[in-house]
Order: sequence, then structure tokens, then C-alpha cells
Amino acid sequence: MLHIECPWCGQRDQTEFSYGGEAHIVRPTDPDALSDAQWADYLFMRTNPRGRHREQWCHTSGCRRWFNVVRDTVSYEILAVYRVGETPPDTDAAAD
Amino acid sequence: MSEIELRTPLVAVPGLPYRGRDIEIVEVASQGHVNLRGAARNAVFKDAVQATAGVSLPLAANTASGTQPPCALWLGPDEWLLRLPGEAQAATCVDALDAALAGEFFAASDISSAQTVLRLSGAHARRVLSKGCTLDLHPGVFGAGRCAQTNMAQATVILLPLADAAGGIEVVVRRSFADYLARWLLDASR
Ligand SMILES: [Zn+2]
Repeated sequence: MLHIECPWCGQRDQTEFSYGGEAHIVRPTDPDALSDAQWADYLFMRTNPRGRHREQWCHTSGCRRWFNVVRDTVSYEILAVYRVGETPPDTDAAAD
Repeated sequence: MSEIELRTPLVAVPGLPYRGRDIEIVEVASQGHVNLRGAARNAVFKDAVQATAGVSLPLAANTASGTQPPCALWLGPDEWLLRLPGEAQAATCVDALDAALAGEFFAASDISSAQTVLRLSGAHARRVLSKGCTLDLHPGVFGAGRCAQTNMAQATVILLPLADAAGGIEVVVRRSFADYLARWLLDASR
């Protein structure tokens, strides 16, 4: 069981949260201009790092806000938590 | 015409109200519940809520402006639950806010019929609730003036600690989960 620090509510158990996949996926501004391959890349292709991963979580059973987490996919250690729109902390260390 | 009988969500649960050893469980039904969305930094919005409902919106996460209606509970950075003494006040409040805040970016929804409240009191109230909840419910951490949304026996609830010396807590629960949660709490109390 992970303990996740909601940016608003503080530390809560993982059972209160939903996982939302990789963070910072930017929707293309002009989807019509993309090839099928480019659109598929936006929709489906994600990094799958062994190590630090920036990902989205939602505090579903609490304040229902989405936020971002930097988590190590090997140790499951949560290294940082930051709000949507905030600059990711420790950017250099987080693998893209 | 036949009389329409108002029935509370938990009227049919056997064993309720429950009075056990150091634990009491009662339904606090027919109160007013208004879900409120708006920007805390918008003074027009905050002032209208103050003038209409008589409460000032708490801005700190997981805090409440009071323990009894009328009061406002923080649900999110732009979301609150207004608790009002009765369902009629909730309808009046929503109408008044809609009129006062025409053109403003906000939403007030009367959800009185969608929720009910279970009040647990007595020295064992928090022990019973702790069986179904991962939050630290010790009065030193979770006392009057705080509130929290969490899971109680897997049902989504809002917890509101009361100001009484015995450390009672009110549990706001959706109507569709209320029957299940009341039966679960009754079982956990025995
Ligand atoms: Zn939260």
C-alpha cells in the first residue's frame, strides 16, 4: 500500500486515489494536421521507464483533484508531488 | 388525495436509532445540503454566500466553518458543502445564490435528497469508525473545526467531528450507500 501526499489533503492511503497514467502528455493543437501514426503516438505510446516516472493521480475519494507524482517504478518510492500547472520539481533527475 | 408521507433514507433500517454501550447511532435526516462550486478568490462569490447562507467559506483544506448547520465544509480548493437546518432552506439558498450571482462563474446545487447524515456519539464512536477508515480519527488530530472526505467501509463519506466532549462524529453519506453503511456501522458497534 502506498501512502500518497495529496497536495491539498496531505497523506492518505492509496485506496483513496486513482491512477491516471503518464503526466505531461500534451494534446496536439491541430489533430487534423497529424498522420494516423502521429495521432496513435499521442493516444497510445507512453514512456515505460525503469526508475523515475512522472504520473497523474486523482484523489478520488477525497478532494477529487488531479495532481502529479514523481514515482520510482522499481522501488515505488514517491519522490515528489506537485499540482497540475506547476513546474515538475527535480526535473533533471526525472527521466523523460 | 392521499397524504404523501416523507420517509428518510434510513427509516427502514432495523436497529436504528441504536443505543449501545458508549455508542449511539442516529440518522440526522431532512437537513439542507448544497454543493457549491466557485473561486475562493472571487469576493463577489464569497460575499454572496456569506449574505445568503450566513457562513464564511473555509479556505484551508479539510476544515469546516462550524459543526452544526448553518456551516460550510471544505471539499476542494473550489468546492464546499453547505449544511443548512432544513431542506426548504437549501432550496431557498440555491435560488438566492442564483439570483445574486447571475453572470458569475459558479454553481450551487441542492443535493439535500441525495445525502443523509449518521451521527455517532459516545466514547466508542471513533473506535467504531476506525474499523472502516484509514484516517487517524484521534480527537487531538481530528477535532471540531476539521472535516475530511474519505472511505468508510469502502463507501465515500464526509466526516465531520462534533464539538461535544465525547468526541462524536457525523458521517455524511450518499443516499444510495446509506442503507449499507448504516447496517455496517450497526454491525461494527456490537
Ligand atoms: Zn485531496
